[in-house]
Amino acid sequence: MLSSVFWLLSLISIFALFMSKDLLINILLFGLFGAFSSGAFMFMGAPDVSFASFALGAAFTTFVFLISIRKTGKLTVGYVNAPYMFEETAEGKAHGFEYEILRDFARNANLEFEFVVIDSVDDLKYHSSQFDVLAGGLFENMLPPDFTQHYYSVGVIPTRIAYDKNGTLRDLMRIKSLIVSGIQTLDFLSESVASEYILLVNKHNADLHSKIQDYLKKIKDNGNLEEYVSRNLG
Amino acid sequence: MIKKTLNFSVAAALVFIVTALVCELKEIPAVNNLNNYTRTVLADNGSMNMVSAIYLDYRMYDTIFEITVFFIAAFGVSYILSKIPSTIEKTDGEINKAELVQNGTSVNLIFLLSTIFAIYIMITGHLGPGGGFVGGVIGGTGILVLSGNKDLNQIENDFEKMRIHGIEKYVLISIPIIGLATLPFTSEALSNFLPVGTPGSLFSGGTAMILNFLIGFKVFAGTWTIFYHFVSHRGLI
Repeated sequence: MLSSVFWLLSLISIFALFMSKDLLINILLFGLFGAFSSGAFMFMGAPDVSFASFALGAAFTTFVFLISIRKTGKLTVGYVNAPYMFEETAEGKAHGFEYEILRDFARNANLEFEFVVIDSVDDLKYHSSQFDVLAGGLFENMLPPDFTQHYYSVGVIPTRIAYDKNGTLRDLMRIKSLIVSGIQTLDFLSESVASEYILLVNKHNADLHSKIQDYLKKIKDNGNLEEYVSRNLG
Repeated sequence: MIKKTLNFSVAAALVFIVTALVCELKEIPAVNNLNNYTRTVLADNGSMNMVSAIYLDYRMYDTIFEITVFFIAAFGVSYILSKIPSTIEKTDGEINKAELVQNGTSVNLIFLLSTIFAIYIMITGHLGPGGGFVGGVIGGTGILVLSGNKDLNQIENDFEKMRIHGIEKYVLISIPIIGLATLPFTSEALSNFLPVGTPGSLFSGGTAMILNFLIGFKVFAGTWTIFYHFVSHRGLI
């Protein structure tokens, strides 16, 4: 009787495995199947088989799969050096608001995180398909024209933008860094307008787009975004 | 659409097979008229665990080939993969973890517990459920969890220092040799030659304890070999 219950549970886990599209959940469901079938063998009077099923099906295989899927995906981020948002600190290291968000997103989605610096905003148009995500304090008006046909834009947080005396567009964080470093004072600016920092997600990767949107919505809802802001932007 | 239909038909086939199996299993004959082993195993072999008695005594021939197959699998993996450049460099100063868990203390605890459990299961294989194969896999899983927090190359170096890969091959050869060692004592090869002992005590079941331990060691080393090569070449195949 009990063994039938366990068989039923393992059947349910197989069904769930066929339904789910998430790789991580699939692996865990496979482990669950191993555990349930092990229970079934136990109550059918075959403890040896049950042990083997548990050790191999539920523990060993699950661990090997869990370790190997970390490499299946890679999140390649191209970024423009932007103070407080995505800043290179040393060779191969970076910090900043968008860096932390993308890094934690990659960790959550079991992707390997890789980031490559792009020299200037104008160079962005040469990298139309190389990167999964473009970041670095980007906002709509600074991008090259017709750029959005290759990328989805995902809003992260609101900002304000203004022209300086040379006619260059500057955003809040770049202005802040100029003022903090003492290069400029506030009076060089024109009237500011509201804008939004965006991440650009490659149109080849629609799945990633929805995942990043969901993740940003999640951290907005549970208040984690506030922590990122207070840690990096002040 | 076709893919979905295929998935559903596979799932339906699985449901059918499992249901059929469960219905069939109700008609299994009662244990007491299975076969002769049930009555003679205690006198012949002295193992409380009949499964262990069968695969280490009556059907030792199968076990030897099972171990050989496992060895060939591990050997094939290490042979083919060591020709491909590794993704983790040996000279790299940075630690190459398997990056599965962050908490070092719990990892060490799991490793310790699983090693103790594995050894327990190996040496009491003839008294209760378990045996060499399961014990080896549990020990291998312990090492696998440990690699979540330790440098993989460090573990591999420790293995080489302890000469585990060398011992592994002697262990593989010694299993059939123990089987053949019965020839001078009895007329049959590949069967029990040590004293049967009191069934239920630790030193009973003749060669069962030695063989279980050797098989466990073999499986443990083999799982580590396969795992190490898979992780150090991940993303390449």
